[in-house]
Amino acid sequence: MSVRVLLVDDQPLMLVGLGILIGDTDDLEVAGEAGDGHEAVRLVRELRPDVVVMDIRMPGMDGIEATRQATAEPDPPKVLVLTTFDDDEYVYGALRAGASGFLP
Amino acid sequence: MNLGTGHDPPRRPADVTSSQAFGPGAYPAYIPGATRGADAAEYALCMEQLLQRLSASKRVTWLMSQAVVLATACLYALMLPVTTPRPANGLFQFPDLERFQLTGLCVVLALPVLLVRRLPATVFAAVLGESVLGDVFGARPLAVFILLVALSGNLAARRPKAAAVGSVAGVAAAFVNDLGVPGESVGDAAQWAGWLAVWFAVAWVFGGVYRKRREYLEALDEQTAARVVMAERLRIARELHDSVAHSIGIITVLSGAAARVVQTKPEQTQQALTGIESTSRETLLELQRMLGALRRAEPDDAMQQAAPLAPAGSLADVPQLAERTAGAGVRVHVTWRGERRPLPPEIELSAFRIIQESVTNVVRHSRARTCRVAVGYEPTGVRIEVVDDGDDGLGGPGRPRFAAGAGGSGFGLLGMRERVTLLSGQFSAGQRPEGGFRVTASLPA
Repeated sequence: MSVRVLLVDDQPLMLVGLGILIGDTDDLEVAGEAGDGHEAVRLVRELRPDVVVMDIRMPGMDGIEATRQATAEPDPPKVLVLTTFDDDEYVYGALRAGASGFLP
Repeated sequence: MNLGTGHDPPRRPADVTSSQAFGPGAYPAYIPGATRGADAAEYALCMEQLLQRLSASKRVTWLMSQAVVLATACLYALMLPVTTPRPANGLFQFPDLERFQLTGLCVVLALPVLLVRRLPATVFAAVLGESVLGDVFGARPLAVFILLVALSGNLAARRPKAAAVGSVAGVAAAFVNDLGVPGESVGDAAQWAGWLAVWFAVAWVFGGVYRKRREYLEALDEQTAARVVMAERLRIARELHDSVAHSIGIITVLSGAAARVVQTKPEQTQQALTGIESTSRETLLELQRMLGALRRAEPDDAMQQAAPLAPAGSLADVPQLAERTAGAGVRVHVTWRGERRPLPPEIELSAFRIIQESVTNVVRHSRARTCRVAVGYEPTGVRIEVVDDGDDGLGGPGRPRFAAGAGGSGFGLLGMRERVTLLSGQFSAGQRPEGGFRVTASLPA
């Protein structure tokens, strides 16, 4: 059984790129895509993915708050945070919110 | 004691126009960044207002000190006859003077005081000469010594060493002259000189305290200016991060994905490549806009918007600028040194803008009728100097002659400094000791 991944990013093209990469990897599959934090939290409850790949800076609910809410769910997914630069403020914020790792 | 005359001449109100081009509305920025950008803009605005208030209060200070100088001169002229011992007191050998002669003499003796702001040391020496003359003629008005002490304090606020030397000279002269007064013993003379020395010392300390305070305020001003520039840089960095870095991240992921599936899934490969294309294009536009904003000297530069391809200005435009400025009432003498050669457009534009801004400042903020622009081509770059002599006569800087001059670019001293720093050059601007204002910039090319 492959790992189901929820992609969260406000840039549609980022979702496309990540989607292609994950779709091309044998033991990974895209469970869903979300454009902001609210949608991400909703899809975590609905789709119960194994892993969430989360952008931090998004309009509406940002990635840190979405991570906090997603990891507060029963049987929470692992959250990997996407950052362009390892901005300390975001790194610590996301780790405190329950993120498991970073993809710079 | 009149320490008020030691006030620094007011500096030109520094145009702290942190360029509005990077204001929060300039880019449809990312939301988290945008709110922080707005904070920074607000902060810069506060600083701007603060600096304006400072420069306004400086003008008030300047007027006050002018008034103090005038009052001191008048008081001195009035006190001279009052504090001069009468012939009946025994030590007076001065011939009797008519009333108007005495008045004229007092006025003449008080005249040098008016120059105290410009030539503190000379005026001190002149009044010291007056005191010696008074002793030689046997008239020893107390007013001259009081004034001398005050002037030494004023001098100490600017040139402590000169003030110390002057004070010693004053005490020595008083001692020697007192020996010559009939009926005064060496002890009396020493006592008199000692008292004077104490007063000179007190004045020197006061002058020193005032000088320290002024230096501290200047350092504070510089720090404030540096903070404004820093805020501006942080904002630029954030804009770059928000727009460009993010886009490059997307391009990286898309190209990685395309490379991965190029053999197996042509449709997805095409989708990724199209994404790369559109993202790159947007990023390029964003970069152009940002660099344009960075280079643009004037936030609402109509010329830039109307004809972005037209050359924005170069050193070849300086003679025209000089002609235009002559029309605004300030003659500009331009001198060229070194072998003229074309420089990179950035350097040409910046050099021209700095000259334009400096000349405009002369028109706006000084009463000078002439200013000198020197452009020196050196093997390592170009050096610019713009100098004016300040007010040609009475009056002083800070009085605008024209509300709008010959079309300044409006980015002010801070903007010039930042522009030069971005080009790894050196910049200085400040009041000249001999009066007037000087702006210099060296740009490597």
